[in-house]
Order: sequence, then structure tokens, then C-alpha cells
Amino acid sequence: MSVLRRLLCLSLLLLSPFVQAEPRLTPFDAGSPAALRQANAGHAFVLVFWSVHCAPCFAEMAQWRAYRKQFPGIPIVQVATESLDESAAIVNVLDRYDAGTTGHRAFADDYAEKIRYAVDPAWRGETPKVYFYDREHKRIARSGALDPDWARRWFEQQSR
Amino acid sequence: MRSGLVAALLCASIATAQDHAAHGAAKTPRFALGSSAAVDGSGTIWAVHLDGGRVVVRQSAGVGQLWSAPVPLSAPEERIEADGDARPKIAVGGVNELYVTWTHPLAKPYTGEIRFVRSVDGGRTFSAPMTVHRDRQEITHRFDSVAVSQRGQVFVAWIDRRDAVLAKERGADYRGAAVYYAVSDDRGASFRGDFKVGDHSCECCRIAMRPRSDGGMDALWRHVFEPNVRDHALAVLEPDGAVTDLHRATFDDWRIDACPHHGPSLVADGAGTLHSVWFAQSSDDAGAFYGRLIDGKVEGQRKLGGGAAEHPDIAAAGNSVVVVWKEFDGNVTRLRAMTSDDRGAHWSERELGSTTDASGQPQLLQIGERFVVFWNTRADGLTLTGISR
Repeated sequence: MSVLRRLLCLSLLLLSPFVQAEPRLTPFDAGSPAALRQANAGHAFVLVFWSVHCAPCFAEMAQWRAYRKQFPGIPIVQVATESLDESAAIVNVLDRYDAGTTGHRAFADDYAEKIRYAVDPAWRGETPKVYFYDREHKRIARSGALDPDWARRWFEQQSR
Repeated sequence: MRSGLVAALLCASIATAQDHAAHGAAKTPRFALGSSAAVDGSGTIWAVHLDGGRVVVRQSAGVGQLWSAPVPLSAPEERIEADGDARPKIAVGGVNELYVTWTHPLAKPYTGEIRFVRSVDGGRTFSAPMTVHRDRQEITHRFDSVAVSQRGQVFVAWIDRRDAVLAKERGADYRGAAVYYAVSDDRGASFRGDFKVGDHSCECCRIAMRPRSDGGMDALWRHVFEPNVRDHALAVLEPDGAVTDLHRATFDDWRIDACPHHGPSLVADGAGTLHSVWFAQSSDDAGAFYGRLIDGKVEGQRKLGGGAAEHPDIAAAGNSVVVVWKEFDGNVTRLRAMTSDDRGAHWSERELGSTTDASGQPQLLQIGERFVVFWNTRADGLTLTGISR
């Protein structure tokens, strides 16, 4: 391939909305919790961990989609606790339960205890595990299926 | 949009090359950490794990000895699940039999089939994989366990959602999944089943089995007691499919609708007392626990390690009981053990090793009179560490 064609290709790629689509899965590593707090300084956000083994997690995908729509000012970051090596299994679940959404993440590698520790040393890997960060980034951790009434109240409070 | 299409066409050759590189990496995943091991009558250690996307078996003559080259047991095109409690399992029977199980995920999320392979010539040759259960719906059959009874019958147990699916079709509520098992009388040539152990198990934890002297199997699994208590249940699985003495075995009162992915282990000492390790998070305490399961009560329950202990395993022989677990402190994962010479009355604890990279779940093996820990680590591969008493 000629240099000219490479340049042409590159410039078209940069211009093109067609190829700028966000990748389906991006990595979440031990540095990600701090990076998320920094990116959301002064703002509330929600960090959701789920697993391909976790049937209760699948059921909650629709709920997160609804909150995202109703409270667009509060970012919801969903992270699969399997490594990116398991992308096929993760995307298989997303296609079925959360088709069409972007911004999903997965553990960057299978050193899960290190990533979990960076999130919360007390988290033992059970899913769903959700962290609700308020504007001051004081957080509430929830394990297991979420009480939707409680979650809705939290979102409403943070949206005021 | 048109520019995008042009770019896509122009760049097709570049994209293809990149895609190939990415797919190539995905198709040959790193040596997976999910692995299991068993010891045969001559003291040879047999390990199974995922390598290059296939279940492989390897053998070692013991602590400090090399592992043989991997021998693939599954077909290259078969998808395999191999992480955490869902790793491939291996059991040894008689003198020359090796039995291996794994979960083959189907297209729908959280569905699967329990696959089985055997060797009846001491690992020289292995059979083609077969599916253990009769039920062939595209539903959950996952989290396989395999064990061999005192009479040489092969028991395979798994988590099964057929009853949950039926309930859903009828519009009824159903807590969790169910535990089913099948039995082979002919050294794994065929299986009888599927026998139901009980409704309302947790959906994502391995099942512990230990052979009883009467030819049955004690099984321990994370159950979902009403309304949503994820403590453990114990039952006796008979070879004819009868299930007796099903009762609650642990009482941490962990109320949660979640997937702990953290199953129990179960052994008996020389006097027949059951010793177990498990994981729980009650309102006042969370962690890995040890206890003796006696007549529906827990005796001598104690928390393992410094609080971050996880994925414990247990072994026993005569008056000796050994527990191992791993514990991560933010930088180092330590392999720790506690041992008792008086059937769990007194314990001494020690560190056996450590790693600063990813690792699988440690497993205890007994080789002759000696206890050995099998631990798959990213840094050192399959490791074997002897425990001095």
C-alpha cells in the first residue's frame, strides 16, 4: 500500500463518523476508579459491576438503561468482572440484554483481586456490586439485586 | 456517511490485517488460571486447565517435578468455560481411571452443557467428549463437579435451571436454580440420570462432593433458603438417584440476591466427622470460614486469615485437617494454610508462598501421607507446595 493511500486512508478515518463508533468494550484496570473520580469531579456517578455468571445482573440491565435515560446527568459506568479475554461471552450477554448501548467496560486482565482492591478492598467479588458516588464522591456500596425504589430516590436526590 | 464508506473500503486491507492480529490473540488466550488436579494410586498428579482454548491434561511425578506437555481433551472448535468455580474438574478412580468434566457454554448467555471425558488406561488415551445429562434444552447446566464413590461409581453434579424455566413458563416465582446429578456404573462409559438433588440452589457456585463409606456421596452447595438466604445445604446422594437427609448446614444468614461465585469444600476425617470451608457475608462478619458440620449444626466455626481470605480448600486424613486459602493485601497474594492434628480442636497457621501477579484458586491434594497444595499462578504456572505437619 502506497504512502499516499495510507495518508488518504488515515485522513478519511479521522473524518469519518462511520469508523468513530465507540468500541463495545473498553478496559477497566486498577487505575480506572481514580480516573473515573477525576473525570467526574464535583459530579455524582454510579459504578456497576456485573458478571456473565450472574443471572440477577442480566435482569438489571434494563433498569440501568432506564435510569440512564431518565437521569442523563449522572453517568452510569457498567463493568464486567471477567477479563477482556472473555469478550465473546460478555458481548453475548450485552447483545441480548443491553443491545445498542455503548460505554461498557470489562476487567483489563484476570488479575481480578488487584482491580477489585483498587475499587474497594472490602469487595469480595460478588455481583451485582454497585457504588453510588455523590457529588462529594462519598459513596454507598450495594451488593446483590438492587431495591429499585431506593435507587430511584438516590438518582432523584442527586439530580436536584 | 459516504466518506465513511469510502474510508472503510479504502482501508479494508489495513483493517483486515489488524483484525487478524486481534482475532489471533483472542483465539489463543493466555494459559488460563482456572485449573484442577487429582492424584492417582501411584502418586502421579494429574492437572486439567484451559490452554489455547482447549481443555488439556498434564501430569507430574510430584513436588519439584516437571509437568508433562499438555494433551488436548476437547475439540478445537468447542467453547469452554474455565474461570473461578467454573473451571474444568478432574477425579481419579480405581487405579487406571481418570475422569474430567467441564462446562461448554451454549449460544444463549448463562446456558451450557456438562461435558465428560475419561481414560481407562492410566491417561495413555482419552475418550471423545460426551454430554452427561439427558436434558438437552438450551438452558443452564453449569458448574460441574465430579467425584468417584467408594464403589467406583462416577458421580457428576451440576447447577441446572430446568425447574426455574418451567416455573417461569407457568408464571410462578422460583428462587435460584436446582442441583442435579448423574451416576455412571461402567467407569464413565455411560451415565444414569438426571437425578434432582433439590430446588433453589444458588446459580453460580461449585458443588462440593465427598465419597461416603456406604457408597453414597455427601454433597454441599450454596442454597437459597427463604426468602433469599444464601447459606449452604448438605444432602446424601445415593447411587440409585435417591436423595436423603437434605438439610441446612451453615447459618451465616447471608441474605442477598447476588452471585458470589465462591463455592464450598467438604471432607471427612478418620472418624467420619465432616469438615468444611465456605464463604459468607453476614451482617456482622464477612469472609472465608471453617467449621465441622455435625447433625445440622456447625461446630468450631472460625474465620480464616486476616479478613481478606478467599477461595479456601480443605483436606483431612486420620486426625489431621488442613485448610488453605489465598489472601490479597493490595500488592501480594499470599498462599496461607492452617493445620490441625486433633481433628480441628487446635490450629496452627503459616504462609506457604506468595505471588505478585494473577493466580487461580488453590487446591489441596493428598499424596500418600503428605498434603500438597496445587496452585496455578501467572508467574510460575502450575505449582505444587508440600505442607509439613
